Amino acid sequence: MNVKTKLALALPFFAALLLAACQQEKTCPSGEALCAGACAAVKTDARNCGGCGIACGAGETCTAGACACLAGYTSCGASGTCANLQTDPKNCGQCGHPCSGTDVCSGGQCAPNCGAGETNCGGTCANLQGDVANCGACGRVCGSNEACKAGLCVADLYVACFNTNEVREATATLDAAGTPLATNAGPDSLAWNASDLYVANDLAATLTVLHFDGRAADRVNLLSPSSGADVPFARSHGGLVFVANAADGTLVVVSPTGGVVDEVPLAAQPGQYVDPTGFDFAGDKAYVALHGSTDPAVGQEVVVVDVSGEATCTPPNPSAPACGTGNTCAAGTTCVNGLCQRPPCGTIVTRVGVQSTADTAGLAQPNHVLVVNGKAYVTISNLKADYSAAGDGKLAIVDTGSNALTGSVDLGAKCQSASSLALSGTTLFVTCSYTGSVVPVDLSAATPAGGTAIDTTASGVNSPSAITFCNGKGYVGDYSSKVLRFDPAAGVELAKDVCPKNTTTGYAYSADIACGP
Amino acid sequence: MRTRLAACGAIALVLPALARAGEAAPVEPTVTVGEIVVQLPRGEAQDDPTASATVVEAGRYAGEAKTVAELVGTAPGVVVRQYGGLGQLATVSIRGSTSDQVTVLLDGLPLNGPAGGGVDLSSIPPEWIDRIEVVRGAEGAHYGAGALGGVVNIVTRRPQAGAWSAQAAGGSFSTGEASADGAVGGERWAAMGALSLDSTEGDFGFLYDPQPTLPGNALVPMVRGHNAAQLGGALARARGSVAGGVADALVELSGGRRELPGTLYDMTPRDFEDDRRAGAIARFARPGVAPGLTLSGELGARYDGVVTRLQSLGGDPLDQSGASGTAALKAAWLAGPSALEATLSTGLEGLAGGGMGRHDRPSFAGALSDELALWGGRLRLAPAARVESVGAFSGASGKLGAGLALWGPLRARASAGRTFRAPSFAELYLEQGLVQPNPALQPETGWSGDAALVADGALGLASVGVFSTLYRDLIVYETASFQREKPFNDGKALARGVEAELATAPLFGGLTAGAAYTFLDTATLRGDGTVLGKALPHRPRHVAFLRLAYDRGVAGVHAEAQYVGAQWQDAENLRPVPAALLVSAGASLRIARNPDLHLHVEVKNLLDDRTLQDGFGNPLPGRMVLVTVRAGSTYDGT
Repeated sequence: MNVKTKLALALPFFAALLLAACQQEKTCPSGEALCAGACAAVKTDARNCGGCGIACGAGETCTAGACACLAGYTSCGASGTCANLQTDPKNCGQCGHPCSGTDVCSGGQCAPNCGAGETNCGGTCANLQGDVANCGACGRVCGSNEACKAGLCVADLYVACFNTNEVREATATLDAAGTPLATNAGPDSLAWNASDLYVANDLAATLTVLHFDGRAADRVNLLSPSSGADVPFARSHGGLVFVANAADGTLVVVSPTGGVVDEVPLAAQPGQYVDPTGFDFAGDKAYVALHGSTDPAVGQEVVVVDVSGEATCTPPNPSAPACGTGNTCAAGTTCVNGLCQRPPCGTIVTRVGVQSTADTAGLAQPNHVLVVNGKAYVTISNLKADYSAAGDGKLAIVDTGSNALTGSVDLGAKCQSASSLALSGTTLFVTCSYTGSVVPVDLSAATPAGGTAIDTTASGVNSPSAITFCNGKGYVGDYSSKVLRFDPAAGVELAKDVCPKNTTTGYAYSADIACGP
Repeated sequence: MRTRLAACGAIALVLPALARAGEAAPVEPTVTVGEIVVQLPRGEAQDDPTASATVVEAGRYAGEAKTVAELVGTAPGVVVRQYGGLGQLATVSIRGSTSDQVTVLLDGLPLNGPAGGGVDLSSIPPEWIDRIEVVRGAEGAHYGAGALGGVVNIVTRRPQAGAWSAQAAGGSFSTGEASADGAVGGERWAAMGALSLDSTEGDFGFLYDPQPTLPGNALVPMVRGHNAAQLGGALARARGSVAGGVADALVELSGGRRELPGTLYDMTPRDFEDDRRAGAIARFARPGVAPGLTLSGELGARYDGVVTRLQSLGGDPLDQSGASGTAALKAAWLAGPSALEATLSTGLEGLAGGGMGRHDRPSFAGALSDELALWGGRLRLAPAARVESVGAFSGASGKLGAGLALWGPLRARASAGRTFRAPSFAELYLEQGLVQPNPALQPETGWSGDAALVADGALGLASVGVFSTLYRDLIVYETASFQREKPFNDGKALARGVEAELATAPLFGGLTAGAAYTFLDTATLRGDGTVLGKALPHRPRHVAFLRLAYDRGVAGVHAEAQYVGAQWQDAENLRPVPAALLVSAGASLRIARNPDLHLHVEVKNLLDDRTLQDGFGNPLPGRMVLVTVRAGSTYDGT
């Protein structure tokens, strides 16, 4: 072999090495496999059930990595074909009983036409509002453990998985459902607005708008200019979606049709890092918790925002006429920074300081707000500057009539770093991240106080964060893959891994939970 | 050629002395225009002559109140991150690297501290500088592990007995600076000392966006407060002929205090940083030990102490001190067409500070490089290899460079290299606030290749080239448990592009032009679907610099434009940072001839664009006027 020949052989070899080195390496969350360039949840993906390329057949769904008949379907014959005996013209009423000619199958009976409220889907009479094999449209099959409700394929629960950039569906018993719903980086908060689920992506400063009628997801860019984006919370109100833009200290208002229509600066002084982390509404007032950082003079308050003008708000006009002498403007407009603009849609009514609810060495660092019967209950972290606990977690109580701090509740020694809160009946349940507990507060008592803590650590939920109630059961997210279910009366029922781990970091965070519609 | 090779094989600081002693030495090309002597632009780094390099001659910008970061930013392949300008942190990225992946040297002394985080260019007084060599590509074989993106080698002025200069400047935002230096010496020695002081209040106006997410809203005038910075420094340098050889030593001290204003939406009016730095290096070279053989030794030491007061971490002083020492032995051997150099070195670096404890680690390295002149010197080949251990980490670096004279001043140049960077102490051990350490980290690696056409002659220098660098096992901070940030070897990225530069010799009686352009195409090669194939954040696709100057010695004018194209804040490419254009201009006038006395006026951000921001959202100053008076015994523009 001469030198030229060696060179001719060596060059392609090195070129191949170089190209291989420059190839993209797609990473998938734990439990997902890379199938034809895309990550697939092989336990629930009907196209990759149990492994790449293993597709389930008609009438089947993928559950726990194996194909099985859809709910309400029957396995027919030696081939095990799954058939809906109520609607399948080949197996109408019973397996192997076909309808003749052009007859369709309706209610398990062959008939010339489908019944009222049914649609003829190639001979199958389907109720598009409730048929998991024809949900919303003929042939649109719902995923594993999903139900068809009002023509939408939905699950019992939705969980924001912060570390793997996806929303996971789950059943009420915390089993996997559907296929993962992709988001941008750091999904942190979930908010239903009509039939769409808005996902606040903390690290990307975007909203992912998930539809459940077969449409692809939409995205709203918040364009935060800060190098460290932080969008931790979103809630729907009056048909609009309100978003806490913590990095820039504002409350962003998003219209489902018009994108960002308003943004309310929340800091008392420009440039202050007030870190809005949560809010709730009382009528047309938003009560926004300004967590602040380690400066007791910045944030550490609840700011009350009048949002009554947001319903008709439109973005400002950059070409608006300049203000006249003495900042005068035409009727219906007001002078904003030299231009005659529409009046501010959202205005700050007042600020309610809550630092006084923290212990002497602590910072209040209010987290989340829930308005119940004219009172805004605010979780108080009560942490030191080094993030260690300064004392018991607290609840600050702000009267929504007077907009004044009227008291606080000490959540007890079993609650440090009070995080989120949710209501069941007349009892508030507060998650406590440092102590691995959920503490009930009976609001019907004359003097509300922290009750007996529910220990979540025995179930592996060591740092509970988000909490919500769905159909009477409490669901708690954790700084791990786990979601815990508890009964308000009976306590912890079960906990399961819902969010997968990021395969690089090994971490998972079940950041928020929303009930299915 | 043999003379030239000798220059490349020995120590840069030593060779000028050899020249005066009648030994072989390189001749720095100059041209005389009117009454001034101007250094011709060059494109060769001293330690790696076949590398892709730009030599920024500080003398071209004398009196123009340029910072080191601004000087470095005139080279192609470079992105300078200014973090607000005016005395604030300034770091450099080369060919899409992080600032940690650029080795910064002061006369060969590494300034990259064991804590990591890149070198703050604002801590180096610009008045000391003779030239800056910007070397692009994986340069670990020549400069040591860490240089994945490239090297910035800052070369201080050479002692010249009897020379002195002094400079005072003042201007906008209560900015002032003063510096002085002088040198003494005899026939066989020279020593110089230099002092400098820089201060700014930094209280500039800018336009603030209170509703950054809302399209179409109006901006609000604000003043950037808590932005002051003071920096002082001293430099001593000496050289001489001793015991049949040449000795050279340098001691540098600097320190300062800066207010840390924070970002636009997280202003930090109670945050401060104080730093104190010291460095020393001494070398001795003995030529002629045997025919063609030069032996040399080198000792270096470095200390960096930083005290920060960050309210987000409680406001208490956080003291972090790092120190390092190195020793090296070198042998340079000329034999026929070969200039071989072998180096053995060892070092120790340590760091102690809040949130990190105390750590130290030794380092050992052995390097071998050669420069071969073939075909009568038309072809130059420069292979180099280095094996190195840094604490528990070890790796190899390699580089092969080649240069081929094509026709007249035209030559072709190409190189390929590979190196690694050991994790810094901060990445391994720092636990502070929301940051967590990862002791399981492994080194990052970088593979680079480039090729260029270079025209280098009496009219000046012009080059255009392409490059590609593959970064693997990049250390990236990811969100871990409890929303903490923790570093992982998670990154893989490709950076490729085009670099072009032009630097003319004085034409038409004193007109010079300089230009640099970089097209940078980056891609994330590892990650989930949201980031795969996307551009790396904070890497502008286009960067350009243009300068026109006319100088006859008595008077001169110049104008500059610096364009930094759009870039992304985030890995998903969802949050854009708009492009920025900075236009500056200046003029100089000689007031007296003996001593040489000049008056300079520099106007930065001539268009007074108050919306300018750096890539991290920090506002940059509006129009800034600086007046400088400069006197010197030898002020001649070089």
